Amino acid sequence: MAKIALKEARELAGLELNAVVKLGVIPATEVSGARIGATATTVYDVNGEPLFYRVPLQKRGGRPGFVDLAADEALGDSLLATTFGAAWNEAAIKEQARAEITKRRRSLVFDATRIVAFSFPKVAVQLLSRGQEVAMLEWGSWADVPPAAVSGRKAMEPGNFERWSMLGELPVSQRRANEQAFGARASVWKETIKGPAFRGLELVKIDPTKFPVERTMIKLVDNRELHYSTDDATHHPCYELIGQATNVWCVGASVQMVLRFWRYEYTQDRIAQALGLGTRTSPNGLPYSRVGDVVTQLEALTSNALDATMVTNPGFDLFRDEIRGNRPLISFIPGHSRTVAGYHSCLLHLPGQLPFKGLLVYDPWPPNVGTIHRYENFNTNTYQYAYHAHLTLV
Amino acid sequence: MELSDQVVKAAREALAGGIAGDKLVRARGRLRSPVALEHPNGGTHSWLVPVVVGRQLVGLVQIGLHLEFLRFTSFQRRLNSLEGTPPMAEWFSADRVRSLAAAMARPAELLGKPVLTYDQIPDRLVWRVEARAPSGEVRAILVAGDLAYEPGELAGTIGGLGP
Repeated sequence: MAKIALKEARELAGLELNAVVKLGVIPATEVSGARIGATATTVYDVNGEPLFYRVPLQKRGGRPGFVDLAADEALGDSLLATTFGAAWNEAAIKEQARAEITKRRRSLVFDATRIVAFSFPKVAVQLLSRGQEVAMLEWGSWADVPPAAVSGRKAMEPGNFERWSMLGELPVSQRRANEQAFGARASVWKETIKGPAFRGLELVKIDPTKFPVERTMIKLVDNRELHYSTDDATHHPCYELIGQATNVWCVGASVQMVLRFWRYEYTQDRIAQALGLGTRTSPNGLPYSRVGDVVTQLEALTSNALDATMVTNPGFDLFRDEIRGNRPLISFIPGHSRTVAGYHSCLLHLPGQLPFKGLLVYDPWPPNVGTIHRYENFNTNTYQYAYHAHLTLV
Repeated sequence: MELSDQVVKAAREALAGGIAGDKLVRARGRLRSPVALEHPNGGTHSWLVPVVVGRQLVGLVQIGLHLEFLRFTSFQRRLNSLEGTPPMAEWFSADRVRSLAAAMARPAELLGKPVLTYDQIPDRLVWRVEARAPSGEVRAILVAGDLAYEPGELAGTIGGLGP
């Protein structure tokens, strides 16, 4: 695993940030003149390795802000997030954590504190005694982060508010792909800054007036939602929300929504029966050991007219490509199932995330009603499984 | 700037940036004061900023503790339409929630004030109502939409309650 020194991380992030400001993605007034600070908070992975750096953006008279910079190439990108309107004050945060824990457990002894991404990108303050953790409190809520679960769950399938190791659970293939993407991007920048226009330029200072990359025309927004056909101009959006019939039948409702899109009329009770989800009076969820049943039933209930596929840890591109092909997906997040009927991808600045990628989610919750998330921030959720299907028989 | 103002500002930026809502919501939506979404373990998980058009609640902009946009949950059934949206007063009515919870209450149990939280995962918004028995025993009743139920464990399943 390749670690990145803070100096390199700051310079790469400075280049990326200058580029997006130059392109007008982030208003120049927001960050122009800001400098990526020299002092950083190292945010550790649950496994104890440095994961990313959180660095204040320094701008006299400007709104407070900070950036998150990868400390490990496995994260795939140098600039992870940019936040404006909130200050990052490591000392004050640690002090607040100390005060909170003292209120609750006066006798607790600890001699060190550090910041840990207990469920990336969520961070917590870890309190240690002689190098061993004695408590961990989530930043902001100050709720106690429970110890790591001992269950034999699969990698990258954390429960809600569960601590898990980003570096420890990232599949090897994904890690390699991320490291390659990181390396390729960094190489481009390293070659670029050899040019004479960059001579003498302070890379960690955001100054679009001096940044020598010519303005490039880029498409700022890319979005689509399911239509009656791929001809968006003349065909209407075409997807219907269905609420789950019990408080645990989110999978049944999700399968029903997808089948309904393909014009298969099944009741949710019938789908629940096929998936082994019990009855309305005695319902149950779908065990993780049977997640493959969704594929089996999407195909069986359509007499194999649909060819379904399950994807573990789906990326945004999978959702985007399927929606472009006018095909809905089922999305499992920890403990819940919904369907995806659209996406929205843009480079507009938003507090916390850059660039924004969102999904149009048809959520069967609450029961009998459902809701539509227009949009759900892809970067703040854990996507465990996705199911997509295409027609094989016409 | 007060925290609630910052939360509303973040919600407004999400709407203006086109990543929340549709044209109708962006043109006619008005933001109301943020409501805290309680963490089931205590404390605040995030903020929900109601968006209304007239008296109708068209959606909730969810903003994280660090002012990051999480999602916009819409009650609209159709793009640019108010069809299916509940009145704001009804969705946030403690009386309505308590009357739904009452169906699950045991004899002599007293129901407390509904609290907006979630059932194990933040996607599953619920009202939690505490039911207190004369013996002092307290249990929770959850209300989601028009359904009241007792909380269970997700227990290694998608949806909850393994077979």
